[in-house]
Amino acid sequence: MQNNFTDETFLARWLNNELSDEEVKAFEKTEGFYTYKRIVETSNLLEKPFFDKKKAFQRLLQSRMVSKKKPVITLWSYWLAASVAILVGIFALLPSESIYKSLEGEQLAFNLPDGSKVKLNAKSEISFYEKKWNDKRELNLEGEAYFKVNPGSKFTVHTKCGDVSVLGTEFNAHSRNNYFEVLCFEGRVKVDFMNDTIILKAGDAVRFMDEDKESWIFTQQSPSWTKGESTFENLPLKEVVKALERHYKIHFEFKNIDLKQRFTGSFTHDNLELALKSVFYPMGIKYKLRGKKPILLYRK
Amino acid sequence: MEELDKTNTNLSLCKTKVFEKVFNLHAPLLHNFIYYKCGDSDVSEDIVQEAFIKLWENCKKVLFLKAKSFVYTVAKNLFLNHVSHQKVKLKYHQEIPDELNIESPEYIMEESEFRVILNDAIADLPEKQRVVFMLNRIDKKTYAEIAVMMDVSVKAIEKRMHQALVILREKLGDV
Repeated sequence: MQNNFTDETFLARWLNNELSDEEVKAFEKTEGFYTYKRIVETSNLLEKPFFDKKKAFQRLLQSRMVSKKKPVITLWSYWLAASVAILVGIFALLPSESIYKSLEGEQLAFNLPDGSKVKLNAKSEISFYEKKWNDKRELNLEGEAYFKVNPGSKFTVHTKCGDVSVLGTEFNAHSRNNYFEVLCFEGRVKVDFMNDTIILKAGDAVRFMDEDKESWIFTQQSPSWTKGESTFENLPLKEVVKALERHYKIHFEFKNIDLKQRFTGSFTHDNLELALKSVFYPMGIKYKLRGKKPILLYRK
Repeated sequence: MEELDKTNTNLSLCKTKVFEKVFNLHAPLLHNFIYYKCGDSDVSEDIVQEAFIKLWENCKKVLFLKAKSFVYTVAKNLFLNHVSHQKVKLKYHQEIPDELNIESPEYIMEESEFRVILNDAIADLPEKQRVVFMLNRIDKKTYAEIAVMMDVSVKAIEKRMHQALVILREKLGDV
C-alpha cells in the first residue's frame, strides 16, 4: 500500500498538473492512484462552510454603534469642561468607579452604559469604570449576577476566582470565596479559572469548589433566582445554607449535620417556613426557629 | 479583489463604505480558514467579528492594503488564545450532484459511504494539513495564496498537501 514518491511534494504537484507525462503515466500504474483520484474527485463535491456575510456585517455595525457613542466635542465645550474640572477639583482626578450593591434579602436590576442588562442576586456587588466602558467592557463581580450582554466588543467579568468573557450572550456568574460557578444561557462563554480555560455553550454549566471542577447541563431559560426561587444542582449543603442565609437574613447553628452532603432542588424567596421545609425535609434534617437566636438544624 | 487593491490604495478604512467592502472581500475566506482549524462555526464567526472590530478600532492606523494581513494576524492570535484543542468535528453540507442518479443503486450507496468516511478522515487530519487541503479543494485557493495566509513557504504548503493526501489514503485504504 506504500507508494514510493520521488519527493514530498509529488501529490501536490500532481494535483496542480505540474508533473511530466512520464511521471503521470508511472503514477497511474501504482496501486494507490485510484484512491487518490477518488479522494480528489469526492472532495470537489464538498460545499463551502456556511457564512452569512450580510448578517455578520450587520452584527458588526451594531457593535460599532455601541463603541461609537462618543459625542462630538466642540471648542467651547472644552472651555466649559475646563471650568467644571476646576470646580470639581480633586474629585475629577480620582477615576470614578460605579458600584452597584445588593444587601441580604435584596435583588437589584440595572443597565450597563451600553444597554446590557444585569440582575444582581442577594448580597452581591458589581463595580466598573463608566468612563472607560466604551473602550473596554470590563467589570468586577463579587457574588452572583445574571447578564444579558448586547453584542459588541469583548465583555469580561472579573471575579476573585476567575474571569468570564463573551461577545454577546446570556450567562450567570457566581463567585464567593472558593466558590465559582458559571451557567451559559445563550451564545458561548469563555471561563478562565487558574490555568484552565473552558468554553461553555448554551445549556452548559461549570463549577469550581476548592479547585475541584464539576460540569453539568441544564434546561432552564434563565436563572430561577430571577423569578423568586433559588435552584441547586447537586450542591453541597454548606453552599445551600449560605444561600438561605443571604436571602432571608438568617443564621444557622448545626448539630450532627454533614454539610458535605449534596442537595438538588429549590427554595422560594418569599416564605421562610416553606423554604426551610423544601430544603431540609427531603434531607431528613429537622429545624427549630428560636426567635432571634440562629435557627438550629439537627438530626436525631 | 486585486483590482480594488490596486486602484484604491489610499482609501480610508474609517469610511463605512470602504470598511464594508473590505469586510465582504476578506471575511468569508477568513471565516472558512478559521473554521477549517476548529470545525466550529460559532467560534469562527466570533473570531471574524472580533478581528474586524479590532480593525475598525484601528482604522486610522491600518493602511488599506494591510487590512487583510491585519485581520488574519488578529484572527490567528485570537484562535490560539481561544482553543483548548477540542477534538475537531467538521460538518459539511454536501451537494449531491445529479449525475449520480444515473448510477446503479449499489454505486450510490458506495459513493455516499465513501463520502462519509472521507469526511471523518478529513476531520481527523492534523490541523495544518486539513487547513491546506480544505482551502485548496473547497475554496480553490492556489498553493501560493495559502502560503501567504499561513505565513509559510509555497514548498511547505505543497508538502502539507502531499501529506494530507497520503494520510487520507492510509485512513481510507485502497478500494
